[in-house]
Amino acid sequence: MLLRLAFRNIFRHFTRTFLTFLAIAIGLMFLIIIDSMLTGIDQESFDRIINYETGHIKIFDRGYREDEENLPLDKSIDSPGRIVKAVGLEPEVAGVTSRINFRIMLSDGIDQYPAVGIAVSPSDDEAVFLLKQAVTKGEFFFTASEESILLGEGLAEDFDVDVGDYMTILMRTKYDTFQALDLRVKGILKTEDPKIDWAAVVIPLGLGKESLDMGQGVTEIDIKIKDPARLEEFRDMLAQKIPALEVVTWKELAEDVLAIARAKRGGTSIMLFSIFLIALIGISNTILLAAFERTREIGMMAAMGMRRGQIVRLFVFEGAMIGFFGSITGCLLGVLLNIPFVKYGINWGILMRDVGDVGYRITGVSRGVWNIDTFVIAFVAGIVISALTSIYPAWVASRLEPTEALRKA
Amino acid sequence: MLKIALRNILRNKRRSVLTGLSIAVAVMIAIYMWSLIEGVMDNLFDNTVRMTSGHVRILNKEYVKREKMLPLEANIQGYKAVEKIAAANSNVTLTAGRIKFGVLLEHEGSNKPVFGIGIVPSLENQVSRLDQKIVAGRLIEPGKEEINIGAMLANELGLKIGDTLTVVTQTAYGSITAMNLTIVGVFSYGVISVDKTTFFMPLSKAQQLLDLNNAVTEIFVFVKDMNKAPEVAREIQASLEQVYGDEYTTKSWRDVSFYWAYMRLAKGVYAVIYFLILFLASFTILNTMYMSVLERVKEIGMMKALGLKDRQVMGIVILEALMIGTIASFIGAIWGSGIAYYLSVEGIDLSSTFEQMDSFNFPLSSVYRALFRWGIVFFGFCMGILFSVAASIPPSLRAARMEPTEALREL
Amino acid sequence: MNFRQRGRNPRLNVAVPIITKKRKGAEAFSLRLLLTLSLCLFALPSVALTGEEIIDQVDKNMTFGTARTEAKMVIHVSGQERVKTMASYSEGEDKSFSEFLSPPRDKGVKYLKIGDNMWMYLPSVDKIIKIAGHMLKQSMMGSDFSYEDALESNKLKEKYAVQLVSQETIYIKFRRGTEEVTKARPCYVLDLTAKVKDVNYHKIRIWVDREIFVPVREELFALSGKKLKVMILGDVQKHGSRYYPRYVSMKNLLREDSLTEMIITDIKFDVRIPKDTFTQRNLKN
Repeated sequence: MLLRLAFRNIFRHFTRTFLTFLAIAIGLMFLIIIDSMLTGIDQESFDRIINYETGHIKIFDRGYREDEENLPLDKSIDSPGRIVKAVGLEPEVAGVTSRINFRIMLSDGIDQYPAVGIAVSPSDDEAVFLLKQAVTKGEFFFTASEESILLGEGLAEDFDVDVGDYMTILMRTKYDTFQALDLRVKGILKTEDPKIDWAAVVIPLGLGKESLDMGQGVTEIDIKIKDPARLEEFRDMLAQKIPALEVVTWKELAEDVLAIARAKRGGTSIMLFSIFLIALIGISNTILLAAFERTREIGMMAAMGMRRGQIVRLFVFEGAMIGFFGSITGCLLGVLLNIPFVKYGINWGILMRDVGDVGYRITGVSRGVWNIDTFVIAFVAGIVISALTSIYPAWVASRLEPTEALRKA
Repeated sequence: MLKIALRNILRNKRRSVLTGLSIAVAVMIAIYMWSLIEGVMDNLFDNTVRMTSGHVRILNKEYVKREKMLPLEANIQGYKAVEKIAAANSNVTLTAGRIKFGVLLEHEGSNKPVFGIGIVPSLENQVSRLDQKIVAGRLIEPGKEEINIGAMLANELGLKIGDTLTVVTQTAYGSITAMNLTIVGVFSYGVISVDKTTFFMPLSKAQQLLDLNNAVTEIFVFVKDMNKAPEVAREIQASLEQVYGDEYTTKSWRDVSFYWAYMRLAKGVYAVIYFLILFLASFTILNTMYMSVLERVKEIGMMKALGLKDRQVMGIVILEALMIGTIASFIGAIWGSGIAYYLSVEGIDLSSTFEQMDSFNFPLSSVYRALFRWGIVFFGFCMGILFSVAASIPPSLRAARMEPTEALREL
Repeated sequence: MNFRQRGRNPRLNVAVPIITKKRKGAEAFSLRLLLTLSLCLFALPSVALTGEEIIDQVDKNMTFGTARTEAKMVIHVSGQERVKTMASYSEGEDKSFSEFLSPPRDKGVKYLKIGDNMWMYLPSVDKIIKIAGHMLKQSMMGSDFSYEDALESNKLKEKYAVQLVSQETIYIKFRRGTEEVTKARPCYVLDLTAKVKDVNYHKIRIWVDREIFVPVREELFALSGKKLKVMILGDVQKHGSRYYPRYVSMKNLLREDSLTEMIITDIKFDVRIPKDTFTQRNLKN
């Protein structure tokens, strides 16, 4: 009965209902969109690391991690083929490849510059990483043993080299023997990841294995999984299967970046809180105004013999109902608006057009994310806030004597 | 009309308060958000200028190429003469030669990479403000084998004032060199990347340690108007070229490209979000206004029945909005500036999060502080009034259009 | 002259009987042949040396029981010249102790090497630093020599396969005192290729003076075959029965204008080395 009454009331005062509904919907929509944008910016830096440096999960030789800074070649996985194959057969795995990371000195005959060498598989690397897509000039490798390198954009600029030029890289083999190669620059990389753009020299895996005297060995196996949410579970599962090696998630590898994100979240959460606050005020004020307006109506109900609890419950029902529809609409609007954000991203770089020539170019496209938690929170909050704020005016109004209430307003 | 509007406002206090509350909260948020964004950006900028870029920096051309490696061999020989040339520029207020060098501090068997900075202590109050950041002990004195060390670094290495630290590094010419330095003071900038990895020592001693007699690696130049820094940089470079050919180059703070670009980007992102917050706030005001006009259908009908013209009704509604808007914006401005002021003094302490970052190399203080400025408060206040008036226009139109009979019938 | 005595090479023993079997009618011819052959045979003993034997000869010159050296190190970097002087004691290949005498800022810096370990003493802070790990790969006192180069054992034969490649006359440029000298020397060219993996340079090419068995030029190669460093040895002097170069220069080919010269100003072999010279305690004295 109460429910039906509530339902009827909602439709009787259409404009009022509509305004309240709009307050909820718009408030929630903003909350969702801004959360998606802010989380998206964080996600961007994670994605960069995952896409260019870590993949989702890495497998190392035991002991590699203790000496990680030195990129030790002697702590290698000596026969990766079998593991790569086995891992590739796991249903959860989206892609698997192997790499060698090593220290090098880059030289143009005049200057020497320390950099990080990465030997990548021309055929498999793109199953996990996006390096291939990051080649802005020139081409990616065709064969595993071709004698060419890809240079980060920053390094190329520093050394003033372009596609087709030759560079000498000096390194130590697994056994510490000097090794020097003259390689043709085949492509320039631009990833937005400073660790790649300013410090990385990429060579084909075959050439890497041979010139570093690694035999079939690699320093790491990189895995991309289908469901990133199952990161830890998958790691544990793998770790059990190959106890001789160390299985690490990107989260463990990129701890500093995660820490920065946490710090940034301090600022982000203030913003989200502010948005939430203003949405809350918007919703509750609209509901309060709408309810107080109905003091007379409440007096009538009381005069008709409705008990106070019933009146309050009726209002709460009404509030919750509007809240429900408002929340659904808000979430739907959020989804609709979020689709282009997620799909095309927001090009913050447009804001930087007037900066002109600033050595470090940030194109700064960040994409929105689908943050299910926010949707759920926004949805529940929308209903709860509308229901709760309805209590107070109903309570106040129903306390009045029916006559008094009727006289009012 | 004014009287009617005022009476209307006072008669229904609850409605006025609720409408006003929306406005006040919106204004408050607008003020403290902006203060906080400005504060964080300003902090980042200030730290960058004071610690890494100056307004203008003079460097050896070769140094620029490999700056990340801190190549001591690419230095400025006879730097006093170079400083003199820079100081001859009428916009320049201060020149300070410095040496930044890398050191591996041995600590419990592992090596910790830190930065040493050779400075002229008496100039630092205008450069890095080191003198104000000393939390224990005192500032180093020129020509003495003393250092000031970052609080977190001291903590990590278990060092305290009076201890002697052996600094081992390589000279500009590749020889291993070392010096015993006495810790006379501990500083804290509240910036992790500084407090955890930096120590200061007198320039003359750094020159001795690094075999850089009469040389520095960089000269910080400060100018009267820092927005003119790029021009001044060009002017100084031109005068340097007359004497030294193309040996040296200058960089203004804008050329610290990464931070500058990042800051522009961050500012852009925040501006967009700020704008969205304002939009939501204005929507809230609009909605509340609309609701409060709706609620008063009867009242408006009465006014109309009493012979008030459409335009008058509209005027009353807008006037009411203006009054509520002004009062509410004023209250909101007080709240907002209160919060902004609190945040500018106390800040939001995020050091616990920052602490875990070892290789964190971003010159942002671990305490987010707002920048309190009356301009921001004033802006928020005006915005509140403007939005309330603007938001009252659609509902006032609606009120004006109402037929008296219809208005009275409703409800 | 007694061929048989000199020729340890079995080939010689075969060659002689062939000559004696010549017909009488061809005497004049055979005499001339004999003459030519005998001339050849004079040269043969040395030509016929294997790479290994040449290295052995080199070792006779270059290794010693004990020695006391005073030397000057001249480091050229981008147009500048820095001179350092030092005095050292060495015993065999495993032990050495060096002290820098000048310039003033390096005075008193001491190095101690025992086997594969190296320590450094810095007088300015009165501290001993062990040179290990990454430091080993760094340049020694700003020179083109790395600590590793200093530690690298001279017992090349254990790690490298030696092969005599050819003979040629090369020009060697070095300094004697203040004058620049260029000398043409006939040399054996030896290629040393690593037999084991853990060596710094995969290949070393050495030019050994054919007359006095002193290396005069060394080229150090990366695994790929790229030349990385060139070492020149010159100003050879005789000390008793030993020939020893007083000039060594090292050039890093991957760096523009860098060159380090080491000039021995005084060297005495088989000296008596004070007790406790090769101890860490001595570093602090």
